[in-house]
Amino acid sequence: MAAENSEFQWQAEDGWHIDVRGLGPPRPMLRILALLQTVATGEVTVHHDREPIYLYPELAELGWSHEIIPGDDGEVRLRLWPY
Amino acid sequence: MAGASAFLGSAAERLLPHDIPFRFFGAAVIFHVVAWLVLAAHADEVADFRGGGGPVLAAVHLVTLGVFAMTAMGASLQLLPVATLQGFATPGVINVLWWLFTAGTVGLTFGMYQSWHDAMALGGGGVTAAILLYLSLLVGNLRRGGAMVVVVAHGWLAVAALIGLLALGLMLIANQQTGWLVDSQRTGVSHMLLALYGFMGFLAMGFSYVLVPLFALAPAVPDRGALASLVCVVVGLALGVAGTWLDRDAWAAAGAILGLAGASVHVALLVLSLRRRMRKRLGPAFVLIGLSWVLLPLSLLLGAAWALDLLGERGPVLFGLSLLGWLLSLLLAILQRIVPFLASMHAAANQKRRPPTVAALTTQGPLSVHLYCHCAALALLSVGALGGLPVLIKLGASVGLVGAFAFALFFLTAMTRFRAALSVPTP
Repeated sequence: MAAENSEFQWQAEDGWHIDVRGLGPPRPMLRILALLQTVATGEVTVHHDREPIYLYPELAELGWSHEIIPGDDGEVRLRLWPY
Repeated sequence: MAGASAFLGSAAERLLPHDIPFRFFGAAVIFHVVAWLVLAAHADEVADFRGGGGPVLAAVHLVTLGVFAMTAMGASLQLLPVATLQGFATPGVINVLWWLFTAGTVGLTFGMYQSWHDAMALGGGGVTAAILLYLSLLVGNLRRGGAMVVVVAHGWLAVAALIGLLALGLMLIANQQTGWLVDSQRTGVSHMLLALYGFMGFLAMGFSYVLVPLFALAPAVPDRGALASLVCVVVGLALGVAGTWLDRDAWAAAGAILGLAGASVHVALLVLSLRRRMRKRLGPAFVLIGLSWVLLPLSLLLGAAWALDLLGERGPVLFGLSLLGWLLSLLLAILQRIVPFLASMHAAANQKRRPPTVAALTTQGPLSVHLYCHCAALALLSVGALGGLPVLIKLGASVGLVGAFAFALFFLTAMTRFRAALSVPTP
């Protein structure tokens, strides 16, 4: 199933973006993993309100790498890409 | 634009140094082995155990303090600040806590084993100091945090139960020499109820709402349902403890039934969450979690029956076994998931290249051996206790010991692989 644009996830020139700010755990992780299941290649940018440390083992399991990139005030922004 | 490092919520602020939680978990794994060893060596004393000093009491405290509380402390010190979005205590303070609690547990259980009051008092003092230190860390965190209402509510109730059980525990130690308690057996049972359903139960139930969905990739349970379950459990526990303490068996039975209602809602909420999970294969940990969800309500049913004097002379042992079986099954399940999960998380937070996966850090063989041995041990102990058959109890404890060694092998392998992954230089 292909990923679809919605109010919390959208496709831009640099790849897919997902905004999970304001969501309580484990919803950010579930939404990010659901998006990654439909986006096999390319980059995904995550807009979060904290570093999602519990996500990292799941990313490793799925074969995705991550790095923190500059974001807005109060935001933790992550770039995800397949290894 | 602001860098993420300036924002509260970076990995450095949300992860304890990795040796701290693993030290707690490692100690729990060792105490698990020793507990089964003591039980196997003194199997003939189990069926008629009614409290008082001796090896069976030592084995019970090796499990409750050494495995349950040690795991709960290690997990909560890492997980609670993440849940409440607060910072951690200084690692040095947590190290002092670990040394005090470990040395205290060794002293206390050795004193119980030998019926040696001075060692018991010294160890009990160490455990008390450690628990007070832990309490201060817990309260400090809960006071500032409120991000996860359900976890925080369970945390506050665990604090209240911890204060109560500590007071009763110290009274029981003092009573060994003074004999001032009118009915030390009822005090002992009240202490046990506060320790296992109260402190451990509240922590286990609160963290289950986070960890079970996390490990299964399932949706969170609704707060309203979790809080309704909590209210039933709290009122049930208050009735149970008051009824036991004041010799009102009908109150104790009513408390157990109310607790059963709360526990059933708790289990139902988590089962419904699991039905909507993303992860299809759950592994042996979830077999143990399932077993714990059977044993929790069973323990409450047996507790009600015992209070109403329907179980005969083996009632206390059966009740105690189901109660210990519930928490042991749940905590060993959590341990076998959280150890590789935390290891992978630390490796991912510290490395630029691909970290070891949870699967790569998990050895399934020892975990399967542990699963079969754990279930067989609980079954054999129950049948042995019911029939008053020391041979079966000894066999059960020996099988449990094999399982505990297998679990230790799993832990050792995970740690060896984790350290090997950390030692590879980042390109």
